[in-house]
Amino acid sequence: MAEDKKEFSPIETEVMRALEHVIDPELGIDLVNLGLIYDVQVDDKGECLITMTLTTMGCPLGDLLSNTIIANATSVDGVNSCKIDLVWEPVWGIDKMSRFAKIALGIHE
Amino acid sequence: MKINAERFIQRRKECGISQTALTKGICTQSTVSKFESRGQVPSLMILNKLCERLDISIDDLDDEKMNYKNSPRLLDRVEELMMLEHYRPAVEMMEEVTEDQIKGYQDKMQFFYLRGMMDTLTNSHTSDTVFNFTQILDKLDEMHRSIYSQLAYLGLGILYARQDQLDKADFFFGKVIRFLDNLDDKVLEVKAKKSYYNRVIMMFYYVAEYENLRERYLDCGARLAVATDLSSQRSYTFFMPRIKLLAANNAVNEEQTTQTIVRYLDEAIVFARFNKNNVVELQATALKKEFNKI
Repeated sequence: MAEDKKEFSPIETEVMRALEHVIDPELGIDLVNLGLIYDVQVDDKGECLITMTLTTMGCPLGDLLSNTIIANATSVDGVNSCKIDLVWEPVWGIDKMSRFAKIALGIHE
Repeated sequence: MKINAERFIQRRKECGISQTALTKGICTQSTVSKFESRGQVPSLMILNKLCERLDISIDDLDDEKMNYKNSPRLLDRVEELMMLEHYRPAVEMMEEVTEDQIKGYQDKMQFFYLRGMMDTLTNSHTSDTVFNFTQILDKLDEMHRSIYSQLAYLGLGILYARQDQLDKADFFFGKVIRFLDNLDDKVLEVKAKKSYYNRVIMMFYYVAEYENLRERYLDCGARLAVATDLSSQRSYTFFMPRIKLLAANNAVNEEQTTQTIVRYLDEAIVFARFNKNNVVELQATALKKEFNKI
């Protein structure tokens, strides 16, 4: 998870904010609140690497969704390109969702 | 070759078949009785037929060939995890197994089916994916008599559907549908082993999913009804979360009442929680939220 690592740079925080506008089409919640974004790194050259997962290995990361992610990330000033690293470790679960997402979906703890 | 009668007995008991029922039309009951109690091995032809009835191969009884004893159990576990959509642990377990560790004929088919199917369902298609199914169809089960051929057809159908090659998907789903339509209900109800039975449910489910994709909603509903019925007859819940979620989506497509749709979703949520299927639980919850707004 992102909070285990070193703090985000201002530009990485901007990318994270931009990703809050990418909505999972099936769930109607953005990727950040779903807890799908594990890490964002932007290097000196403005190359962005997004480490993320999906709710299940059974659903593909569609072209539409990955294009939206890249478009949103590169919309941030200073980000020139963006790559997605899709990982399955740690495994995603409902516990990775933010409180906001749980409330929005009506999942009570 | 050293034939192990213990394993034969264990297998027969697992299947819940009596000596008399097992031998019917193959040999006398005393032949099996002598084999089981005194290790007096029947002729290979007879033994082969008996093993076929137990859905194992003679190799499975061969001590020398069974040096990797845990693998069949491991494969069964992988298959269960796959059916529960717990793909991550299933993939990890599958990675531990290599082809040369699998000795028995049936196990080899199960191995290739699982490898092909896991690739397909987790969308990690490679050139090897089709090769796995081909091993079954063109080599291990050339006569296409075992369920593994049908499972290979199913896998290929899903694979082509996901690649948007619908004419090819049609071809393979057509074969699976023919198989399902010709299934003997009574044999299935009474005799089928748990794994076989669940595989049939799996076929009905994925056929339903395909019918939904092709916008044949009536056919989708009919297949789901059978899948539900089969699951309920034996209280197998593996596919229930997905069956109910697909039923809800199909009801949305058919413009059925909100009440019907929400009922399916509630059922999906309960089964998903029971099976610890987070994804279906979320999808059903999200969809329900949409309908409660209306």
